[in-house]
Amino acid sequence: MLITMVTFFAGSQLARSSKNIDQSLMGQGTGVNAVRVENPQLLNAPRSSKIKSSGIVLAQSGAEDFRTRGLAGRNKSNPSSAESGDASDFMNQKGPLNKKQLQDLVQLAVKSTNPIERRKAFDRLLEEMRSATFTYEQAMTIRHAMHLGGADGEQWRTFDYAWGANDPASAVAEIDKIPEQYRRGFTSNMLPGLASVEPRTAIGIVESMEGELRQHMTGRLLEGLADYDVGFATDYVFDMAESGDPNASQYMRRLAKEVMETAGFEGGVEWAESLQEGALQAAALRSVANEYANNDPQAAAQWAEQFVDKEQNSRLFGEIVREWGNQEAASAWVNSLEPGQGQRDALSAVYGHRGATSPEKALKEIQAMPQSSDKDFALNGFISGLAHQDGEAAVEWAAEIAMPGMREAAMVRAAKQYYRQDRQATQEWFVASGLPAESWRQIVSSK
Amino acid sequence: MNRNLFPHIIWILVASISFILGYKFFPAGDGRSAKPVGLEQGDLSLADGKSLKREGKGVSSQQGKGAGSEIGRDALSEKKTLSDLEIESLGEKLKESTNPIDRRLAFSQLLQGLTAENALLIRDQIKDFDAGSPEFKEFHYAWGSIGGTDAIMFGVDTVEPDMSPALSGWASSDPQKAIAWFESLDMENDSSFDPLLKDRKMKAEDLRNHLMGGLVQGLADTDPDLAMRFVQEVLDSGNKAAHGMMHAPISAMIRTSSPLEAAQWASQLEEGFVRNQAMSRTADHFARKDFEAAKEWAESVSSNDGAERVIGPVTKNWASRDPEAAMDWVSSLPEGKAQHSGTWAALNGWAGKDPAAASDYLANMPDSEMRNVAISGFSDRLVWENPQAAMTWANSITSDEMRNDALTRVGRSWARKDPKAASDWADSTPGIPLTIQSEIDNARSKQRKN
Repeated sequence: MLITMVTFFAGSQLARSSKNIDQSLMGQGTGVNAVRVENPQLLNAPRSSKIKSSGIVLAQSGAEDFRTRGLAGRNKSNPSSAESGDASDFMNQKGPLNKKQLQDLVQLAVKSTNPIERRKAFDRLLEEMRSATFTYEQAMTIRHAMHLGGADGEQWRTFDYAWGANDPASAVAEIDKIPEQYRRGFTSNMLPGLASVEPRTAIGIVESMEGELRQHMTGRLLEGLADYDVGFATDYVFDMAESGDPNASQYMRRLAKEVMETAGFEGGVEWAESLQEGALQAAALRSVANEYANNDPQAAAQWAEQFVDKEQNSRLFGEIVREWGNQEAASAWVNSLEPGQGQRDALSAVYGHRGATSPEKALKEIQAMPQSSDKDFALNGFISGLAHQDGEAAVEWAAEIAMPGMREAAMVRAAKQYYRQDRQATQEWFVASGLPAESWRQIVSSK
Repeated sequence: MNRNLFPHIIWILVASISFILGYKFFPAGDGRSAKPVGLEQGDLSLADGKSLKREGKGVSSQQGKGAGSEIGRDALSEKKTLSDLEIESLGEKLKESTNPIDRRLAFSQLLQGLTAENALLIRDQIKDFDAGSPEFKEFHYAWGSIGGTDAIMFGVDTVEPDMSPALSGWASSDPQKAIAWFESLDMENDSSFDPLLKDRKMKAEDLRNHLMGGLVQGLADTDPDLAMRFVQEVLDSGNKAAHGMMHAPISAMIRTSSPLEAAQWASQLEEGFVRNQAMSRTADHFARKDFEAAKEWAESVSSNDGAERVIGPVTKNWASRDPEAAMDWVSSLPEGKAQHSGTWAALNGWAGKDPAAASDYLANMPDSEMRNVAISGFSDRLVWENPQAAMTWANSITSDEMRNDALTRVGRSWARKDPKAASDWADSTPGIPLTIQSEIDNARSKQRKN
C-alpha cells in the first residue's frame, strides 16, 4: 500500500515538474525584470543563458495559418468572432506563450477588425516581451508573423521599441543579422527603446554612424533618451553643441517636441524656460511656441511677450504668427509689440502668410512702407509666401530688400522655388542676378 | 522460482499503475492554482518602479478570474472592476510615464475596466488625447459597445467628434439595434440634438452623414456583408455621402480575408459602382500581396463581366517592374474592356518608369484600338513630366471620341500642375476643342480664387 501511494505521489509530482519546467524559470526572471527597470545600466551585462534558453516547445505552423478557409467557409464577420476562440484561451494565460500562441495573437492583433481586440492581443505580446523568459526565438516568431500578416507601421514601431527596451542584447545583435533592406527601419524603431534603458549603448551605436543616417538616428536616439531621463537627453544635446555639431539646434527642437509629448505642454514650457539662455534654449522655445500657438494662440502670444527684448528668441514670434489661425488677430498682435527683432520676425511671418494668400494686397501695403528694416522684414516674409506660386515675381521682389545679407538669402530662397517651376528661366535670371556663383549650388540643391 | 517471482510482479504492476495514474490524471497542481507565474496586468512594472498592486488590489485580484475568458467573442467581457482610485492612478500613469509601452498598457487596463458606470471617470483620464488619436477613438468605441445610446448622446455636449466612434462600437456589438436607432433618428424634432443643431449650427444632414460613417464602420467591423448592403441601400436612396463609406467594408474584407477571398467576395457583389470599387481595391491588394496568384486569378476571370477592374490593377503592378512582359500578357487576353484596361494600365505604368522606352514601343505599334488605348494610358501619365509631349501624343489618337477624351484629361492635369503654362499653350494652339479649353480655364480660375 505504501509503495502504491509513494509511486502515485512520485508520478503526480513528476507530471507537475515537467509541465512547469518553463514556468519555474519565470521566478528568476521576474527578478531580472525588476532590475531591468530600476537599474537599466546593469543590462549591459550579458543575460543569463538559463533564462534565454527556456526550452519552450515550439509548435510548427506555417503561413497557411494566416489564410482563412475558402470562400464558402470564410468568416462572415471578423476573425475575432469566428477564430479568436483559440487566441482568447491564452489571451490571459500567465505563463510563456508557445510559437502557435504567439502566431495566433499576432494574427488577432493584425487581422481583427475590432480595434479593441487588436489592441488587447498586441498588448499581450508586449507583456510577453516583458517576461524574463522572453527569448530571441519568440521575438523572431512574432516578427515573422507580423511580416506575414501585414502588421502596420505603428505595430512595428511599438514592437521594435519594446524589444530594444526589454531585451537590449539580442535586439542590438539583430542589427547585424537583419537583411539590409530592413536594417534602417528596424534600427530606427528599436533605438529609442534601447536608449530608454541603456542610453550609453544607444549613443555608442549612433556615434558609430555617419552622414544622413547618423543625423536621422540621432533624432530617434533623443526620443529614447528623453524616455530615459529628460535631463540626460538635454545634457547630451548641449554636449553635441559644444563639440560643434551644426545640427544641435535642430536636435533641441526635436527634444522639445518629445518632452512636450511625455511631460505635456506645461511640462515642456517649464523645461524650456529652465534651460540655459542661448541658441539651444531659443530652439527649444521655438518648438514650445509652435505647440502653444497651435493650442491657444492668444495665450501663446501673451507668454511670448516676456522674450520681446531678447534677440536670440526673436524667431519664436514668427512661429506664433504662422500657427495663428486668425491672421487678423495675429497682425494686430504684431502691431502691438514693442519694436525689436521679435516684432520684425513676427512681421515677416505675417507677410509670409499674406504673400501666399493675397499677394497683390500685401505688396501694396509693403510698397506704402517707408524704407526701413521693417520693410525689409516684411518683404523677406512676403517673398517666401509668394515664391511657391510665382517664383519669377518672388526673385524680383527679393532683390528689393535693402539689407545685403537678407537680400541674398531671400533671392536664393525664392530662386529655389523658381527653379522648380522653370529651370531654364531661372538659369537665365541667375546669370544677371549678381549673386555669387556658389549660390547656384544652393538653388539647385533639393534641400 | 515462478511462485517466488509472482508477488514481486504484482507489486511492481500495482506501483506502475499508481505511478501512471498519478502522472497522467492527478498532476500536483497545474501551475494556475499555484502562485501565479508570468506577468499579471497588475504587476506590470512601470518605469518609476511602482506597481499597480501596491496601489490597489482590485486589478490583480480580479485578474485570475478572467483567465481563459472569451475575449475573442466580446473584447470587453473580461471585466476587471476598477476603483476610482485605481482609475485615477492609471490615468496618472497614462499622462506621466515616460515609457510609451507603460502608457499603452495603462490605457489598455482602463479599457478593460470600463463599465457604463465608470465611463465618465475614465473619459476624464483620456481627455488630453487628441480627438484623432487611436486612444480617443478606441475609448469611445469601447464605451459605445457597452453603453449604446448613452455613450453616443454624451457627445452631443462635447466639442470632440466622439459620437461617431461610439456608434461604431455599438454597431460592432449590436448591429441591429444600432441600425434601428440610427434609422429612427429625427434630429430636427429631437431637442437632445439642440446643442449641435441649434447652438453649434450644424446641419442635420451633415450630422446624420457623420453618424452614418460611424455606423458603417462598426457594421464593417462585425459583418462586412451587412455593412455593404447598408451602404448599397443608402446609395440607392440617392445619398452620395455613402460613396466614401463603402471603403470600410472593403477594408474589413481585405484585412480579415486572404487576398483571393477578398477578390472573390468583391466580384460577387451586386453590379455597379460599389462592386467596381471593391474589385479594383481587392485586385490591387491581391497583386501587391501575391502577384503570381493574382495574375492567375485575373486570367481566370478575364472574360467575366467587370474583369477590367481586375486586369487593370494587376497589369499596373506588373508594368511597374516589367512593362514589356505585362504588355505581352495583356495582348494574350481576350479582346474587350479587360484587355483595354490592362493596356492602359501597362503603358501608364511604363510612362512613369521609362517614358522613352514606352514611346518607342508605342511608335512600333500598328494603328489599332489597342494602340489608341495605349497612347491614352501613356499620355495620362506623361503629362506630369512633360505636358506638351503628352498633348502631342494624345492628339495622335486616331479615334475621334477617344482622342477628345484623352486631350481633355491631359489638359485638366496640365492645368492643375501649371495653369499658366497650360493656358499659354491653349492660347497659342489653334482649334483646341472646347472641352479642353474649359478644363484649363476652370483650373486657372480655381487657382486665382485660392
